Amino acid sequence: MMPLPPEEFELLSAYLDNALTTRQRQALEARLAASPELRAQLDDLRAVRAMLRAAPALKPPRDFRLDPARYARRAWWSRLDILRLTSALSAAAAVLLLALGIVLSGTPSAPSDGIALQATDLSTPTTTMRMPAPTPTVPMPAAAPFMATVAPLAANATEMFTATPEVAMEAARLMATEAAPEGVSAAATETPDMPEQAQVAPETSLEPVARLLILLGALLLIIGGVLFFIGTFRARL
Amino acid sequence: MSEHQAQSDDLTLVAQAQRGDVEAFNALVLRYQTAMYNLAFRLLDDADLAADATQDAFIAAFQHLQQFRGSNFRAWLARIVTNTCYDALRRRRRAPLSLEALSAERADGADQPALISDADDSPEQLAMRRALSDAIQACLNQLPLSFRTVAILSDVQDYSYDEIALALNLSLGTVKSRLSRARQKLRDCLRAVQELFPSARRLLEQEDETP
Repeated sequence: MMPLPPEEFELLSAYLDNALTTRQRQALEARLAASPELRAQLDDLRAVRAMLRAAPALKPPRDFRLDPARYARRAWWSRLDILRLTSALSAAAAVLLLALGIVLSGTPSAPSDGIALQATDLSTPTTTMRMPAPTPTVPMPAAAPFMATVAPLAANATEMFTATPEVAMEAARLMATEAAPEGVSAAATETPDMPEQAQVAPETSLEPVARLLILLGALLLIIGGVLFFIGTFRARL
Repeated sequence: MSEHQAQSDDLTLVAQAQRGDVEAFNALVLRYQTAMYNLAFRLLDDADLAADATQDAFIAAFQHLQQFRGSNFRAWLARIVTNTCYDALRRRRRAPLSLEALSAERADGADQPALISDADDSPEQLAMRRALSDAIQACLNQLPLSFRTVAILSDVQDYSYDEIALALNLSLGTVKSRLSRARQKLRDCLRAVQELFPSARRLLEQEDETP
């Protein structure tokens, strides 16, 4: 039997699998009818396919099903990394404490206070301009500078963490909820009809508390940062 | 079950498995494990390697199930199985078994998986089918890997050209020409097998009904 050119063989092979266009098929069938040689080639090819189809099926040596206990997707809370969770919580607590401390120390004598200065350094120039002169009659605008001074600090604090978006968002959310009521209450102490004494008294008693809160907050930030670092490092290993 | 029905049934199970349902995925494993193991064995000609490759492929399929977007799960699965087999072959080439170990394994038949057989098969029939399986495997082993894969998918596993193109990421034209060349290369080897196995010839005569 003469070896066929590859294109001829391809035609015959595709013909076996019904993979020719109608026109190709009709043309080939006409040639098959005229050529016993081509028919013999086709029979040969058909025998190859039949032999492969006759290959006995083998029994898998084992069951390949997956163990549900091992491959089931676990609930979200059991997948939470405890270290990351702790660090995120401590970051939130730290930001809360820092905010509280700054707000408490940011009462009327703020510009002369060292901590308040530190806080104003972090804020934008326009808010520091407004800091010394909060309008006593309207409580809400008074709250705005406090929020403005605290927010950048919070942003800095979260940067220290190389924080995940969730932590930053959590911090921002805490800032929004914490700063506003504090600011309002701080502004409330400045109402014009309040006696001079009442303004001084909370300031002197709150200052050590504020320092303590800020110290605590900073400590928590460091602990949280270390935990987060360990958590991230461990996760990469 | 028609092919279309089987496919839509697959997709229902795939959707459940994509939501993390391992049992739904296991239903797919049950449906395809024999076909996939046969594909792996015909590619690798090694029972243990084929079992490992099949298991790895099913695990990989479950883990990457989110990436399945198509409509033909069987072809997607075949792609993963072929890839794990190619990896196994690459590893084996890098760390070949010693000749003694290989021939010892062949001699005691540990390498050969059992055939799927009817209960009423006589021992003679079983032995004949075993020999036929080995002879066909020996012919397949002579083919270059890319031709072997196409020949197995098409003629042993009955995949359409479209499915092979999908599974191997080839054009239809490439599938057509590779299959044609694979059959051409197998011709002499398989003709010799055919002469050795008269019962296989009976199967051939039944095949004559097709175009």
